Amino acid sequence: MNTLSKAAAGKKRRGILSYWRDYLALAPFFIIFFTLTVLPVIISICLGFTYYNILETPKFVGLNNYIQLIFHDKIFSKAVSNTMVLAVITGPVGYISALIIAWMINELNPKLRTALVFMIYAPTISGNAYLIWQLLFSEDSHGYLNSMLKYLGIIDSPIYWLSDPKYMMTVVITVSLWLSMGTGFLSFVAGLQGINVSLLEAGSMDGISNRWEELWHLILPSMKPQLLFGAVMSITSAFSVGAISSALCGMPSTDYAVHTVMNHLNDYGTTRFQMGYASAIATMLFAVMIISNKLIQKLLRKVGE
Amino acid sequence: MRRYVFKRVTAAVCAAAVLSAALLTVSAEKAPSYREYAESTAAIGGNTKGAAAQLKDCVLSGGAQAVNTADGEAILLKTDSTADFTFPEIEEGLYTVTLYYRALEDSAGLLRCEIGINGSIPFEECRGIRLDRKYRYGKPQKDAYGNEIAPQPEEVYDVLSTAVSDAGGKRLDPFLFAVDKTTVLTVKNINADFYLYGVSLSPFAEAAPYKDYIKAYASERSGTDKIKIEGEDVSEISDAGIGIFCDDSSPSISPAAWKTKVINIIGGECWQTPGEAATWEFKTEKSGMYKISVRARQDYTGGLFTNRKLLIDGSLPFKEANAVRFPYKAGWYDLTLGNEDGVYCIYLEEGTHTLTLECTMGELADFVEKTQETIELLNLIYRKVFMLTGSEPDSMRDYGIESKMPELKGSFKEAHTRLKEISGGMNGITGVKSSDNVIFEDLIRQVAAFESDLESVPAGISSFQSNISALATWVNNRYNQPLDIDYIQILPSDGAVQRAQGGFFKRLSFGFTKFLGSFSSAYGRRQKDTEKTEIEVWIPTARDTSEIIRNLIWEKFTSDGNITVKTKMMGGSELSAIVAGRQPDAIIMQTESEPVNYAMRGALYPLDGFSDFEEITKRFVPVTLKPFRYNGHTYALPESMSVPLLFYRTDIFEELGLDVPQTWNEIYDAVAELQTKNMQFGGVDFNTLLYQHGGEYYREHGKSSAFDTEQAIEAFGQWTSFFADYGLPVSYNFLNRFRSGEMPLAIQDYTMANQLEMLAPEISGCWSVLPIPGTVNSDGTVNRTALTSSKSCYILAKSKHRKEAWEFLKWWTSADAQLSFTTRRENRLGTVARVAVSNLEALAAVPWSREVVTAVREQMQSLDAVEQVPGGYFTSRHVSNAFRQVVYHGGDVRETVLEYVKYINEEITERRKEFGLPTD
Repeated sequence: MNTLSKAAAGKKRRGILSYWRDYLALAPFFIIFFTLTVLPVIISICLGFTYYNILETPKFVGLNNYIQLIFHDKIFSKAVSNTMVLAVITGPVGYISALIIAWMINELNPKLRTALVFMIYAPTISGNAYLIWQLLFSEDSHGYLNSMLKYLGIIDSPIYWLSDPKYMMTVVITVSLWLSMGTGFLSFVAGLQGINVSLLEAGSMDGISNRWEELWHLILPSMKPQLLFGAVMSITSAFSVGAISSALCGMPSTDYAVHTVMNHLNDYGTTRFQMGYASAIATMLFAVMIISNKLIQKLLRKVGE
Repeated sequence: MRRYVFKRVTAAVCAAAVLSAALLTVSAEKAPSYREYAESTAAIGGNTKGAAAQLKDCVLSGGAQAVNTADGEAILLKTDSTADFTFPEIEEGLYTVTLYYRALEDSAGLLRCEIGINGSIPFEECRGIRLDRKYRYGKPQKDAYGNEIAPQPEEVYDVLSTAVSDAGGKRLDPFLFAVDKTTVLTVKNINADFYLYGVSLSPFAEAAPYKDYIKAYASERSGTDKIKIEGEDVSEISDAGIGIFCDDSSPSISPAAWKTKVINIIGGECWQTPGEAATWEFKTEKSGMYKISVRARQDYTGGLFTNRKLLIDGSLPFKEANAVRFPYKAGWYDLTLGNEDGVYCIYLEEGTHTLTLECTMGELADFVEKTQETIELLNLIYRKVFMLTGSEPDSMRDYGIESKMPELKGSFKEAHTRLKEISGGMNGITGVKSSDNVIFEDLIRQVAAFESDLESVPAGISSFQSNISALATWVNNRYNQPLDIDYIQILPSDGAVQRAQGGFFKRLSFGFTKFLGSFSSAYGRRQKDTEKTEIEVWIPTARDTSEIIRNLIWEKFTSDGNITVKTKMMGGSELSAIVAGRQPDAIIMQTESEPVNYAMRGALYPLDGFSDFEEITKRFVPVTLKPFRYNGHTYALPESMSVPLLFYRTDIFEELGLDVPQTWNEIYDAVAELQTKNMQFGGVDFNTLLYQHGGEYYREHGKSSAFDTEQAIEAFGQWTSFFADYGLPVSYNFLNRFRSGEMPLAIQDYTMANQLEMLAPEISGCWSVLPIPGTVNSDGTVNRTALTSSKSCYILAKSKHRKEAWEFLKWWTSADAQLSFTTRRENRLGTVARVAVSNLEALAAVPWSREVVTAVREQMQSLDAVEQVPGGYFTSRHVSNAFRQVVYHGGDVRETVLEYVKYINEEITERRKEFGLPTD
């Protein structure tokens, strides 16, 4: 038994060595991935247990940051609820609409399809393109939306779209949805393209009677990897919304009305130089994202069943 | 790469416009224009002999003194002082007036004077007569890498003469004044001091046309010399802004910049304002007829030609030399000076000569003047309609313009006729239909439509305003006459012009050499010196500006000290650099809040430890250092500061018969009055009101927020009531609303004056500035406190060369460095790039218009600044929260303020604990 396991271990070791070329090929990616992604995550988790003002050495404070965060920080709970509202609305809605739109334009002729894919995907790649919404929602009475409403006689004094808590959340959700046709959408388009036509033909022989059945029983199951990828992307982006709200409504927004967890993190990290606390927030966010990803994966397994 | 192609604004136009509007001091009422003056004096004439005034007979007042200088007897004419001259021998007639003057050594600032006749201004243009200075370039120096660095012009203090003419360049000939024996001619200095050596009158003789000129030299033969003068070897320039540069874009430029930078051209958009002249010296070996060929580039004006006045030995050889055209074309070309009929031949005696090229608008001048008059008319019409309808008239409403303002029909008709005439004349001159025509055509079409149906005016009012604005911008651009010159050739009149060589392969190898060279250029360093201490300074700014600073450092700082400076164009990454231990020794151009933010975490070195710190702080307004103090130490020096002023539209206030408000109580009256005419007031902020009520931000240097005091609550109530009760706009674009008249009154930073000059030329001369309104105290005095904020520069705590870094900061905030910096930036990037320097001595020398200077000086008597304290970032965020709570949702002032103060105080206490400060 002992000799056996030794032999097995030896074999295993030899195995690793005999694959050195593969590991060599992997190395560039691994090194970069490890140093720029894995390591920072580990460091950030560690920093979450310290007081760290960036300029001086971190001091260990145990669970203090987490206690403060969960039990005392009122703004954090507000940020969590804002993020949840945003994630619950923009995540699923964005995800499903991306899927449906991809499915719809898949039927079109290739040239038109390419053009549409480009048009729909363009907002996401063009960086801060959502700043044009700032123009649209300008609070100046000569701003686009305000002057239009004024012209139509609906309002007589400007609406403060970006600083009145009444409107801010709606604006941020609208803009987030506009931006949600991202990489997930592209992967759906690609997934739909990759479906074997003969499979669909076989399906119709076997008694699939309408497009919905086709979608559920044939198309979706055969593009599970893309669905999963799209889901991960949409969850990550839904939870890490922050840039949009701070760019549109200012940092911080009026009465923290659209303050998200990301904003809260930035507020502590860059404005107040409390990196330890910010790391704790990041760790929490990280954990929430992993858990919801696991949930989604479970859900997606049910597709087609 | 041409680095100087940034849009440069017509400094002189702005200056002239401001001067003509602002510096009216001899008499307040508006004088006629020169055109009207010339018409009214046209009948006088017949004089042939000039005369010079006797200095000893002149009457001095206002602080002018007779002095003896190395150049002879003179009058030292200080700002606002005058000298009266009489000419007892003169016969009645029309004369040009020539002034002989010299600038004072080491005094910066423009030389400007007013000319009065018999105690009043004869015509408007006399209000800002420009007296040019004279500068010269030394040899370019080379840095350790062999690159030539453009030298800075040095002023030459010679006695100069100027025939009094239009400062804006709208007239090609000098002004003619009607003078007789009894006339008293007054010269009044309105800007920097200068010596006046005399005044002379001479009859005006127009230069002969070219065909007469050439007849006179018909018997002369062609010369034989071939002379090439490099543009950069200019011997004299009239404005320090006329720059010489390195153009390394082509191997055909003489001399070509193959490996290192070589200064090889002159001009660009730094040499475009009418009146700016460059003079070259050359020597001919043989008398005879010569022609002049200029290797030039003019790809600036989008279709239109630009003009230069050609002077040989200081005078016009013939009439046509008044405006020599340089056509618009991509790239360099050789232009032999001439007209449609052929090349100009010029007779040159054997010996030394000078050739001067002076910017001028040429034949366009007349149209520019007429267009400006038309703009005034159009503005008047616009203002009348605007007062009735507001900027966004109700399309459903009948305003009854026809019955209320029947006179508008005539005004439109006149505007229509004038515009048509100008546009037709312009086409005759330029011969091309360029995009500029569209501006005229649009406006003509609109005015014609308005004329036929007055009721259609309200609907088109906003496009009418933007059309006027487009026309004004067009006119403003006509003042720009840019041109680059590589070299000038003086050639025998019968010889051929040799063209520059630059074949394909030459260009290819040139480009390749440049590419290779780019790998070895050291951008951050100028010297390889190892004996001196090297400090690293970060300059977080755009390339042009950092290039200016780098050159300044090299010329003025490292050249005579024991310190060399390595500059980096870095910004925004101070924090990472400090954490990584790779921080620079000093950083300049930082925000106001940064120093204390870093200082409380121990990252900055306190400057008050240096023995001469107290001495250095005298350079600034004391309160500008307030935001850099923390725990008893000062961590930064200010380098540019804001000063809020009250901007108002003089034309609108005049038309409404309103006085400009000086206190907040008067503001209420003015706001009520303005609102009846659809106009608004803007720029009111909490800080100002808070400080004027005697309130403050924090108690005991930041222990807690002081917003819960009675003064603060009162100020907050006043502030919010402007929006909640008076309906002032919360969000607006000041520039657009000010120019349209919608917001004729607002508090803005004084640098806005510059932007208005540049971006809103159509209202040039229609606005002015004053110190901000004050709060009347119970004892009747007025508290005019305004809040200022500054940019900062500081030394890092981990720096190994703190002393050297301090030497650098001292130099950088000195008057000389700051003034050179703002001047050079302005010369290169245009007037709008002028820096709001903190150094008081430098500020006094920056050429702001008179009224801006006066207002800024007065406002500087009552300035304050906000302290930066731990947790201070919570104040601004909750002030705006509280504001929105009250204005948007009608919250109770006191309750709201007190609630938010609670949040602010919580954060402050938290931070104070963090930094180990007492919290009580």
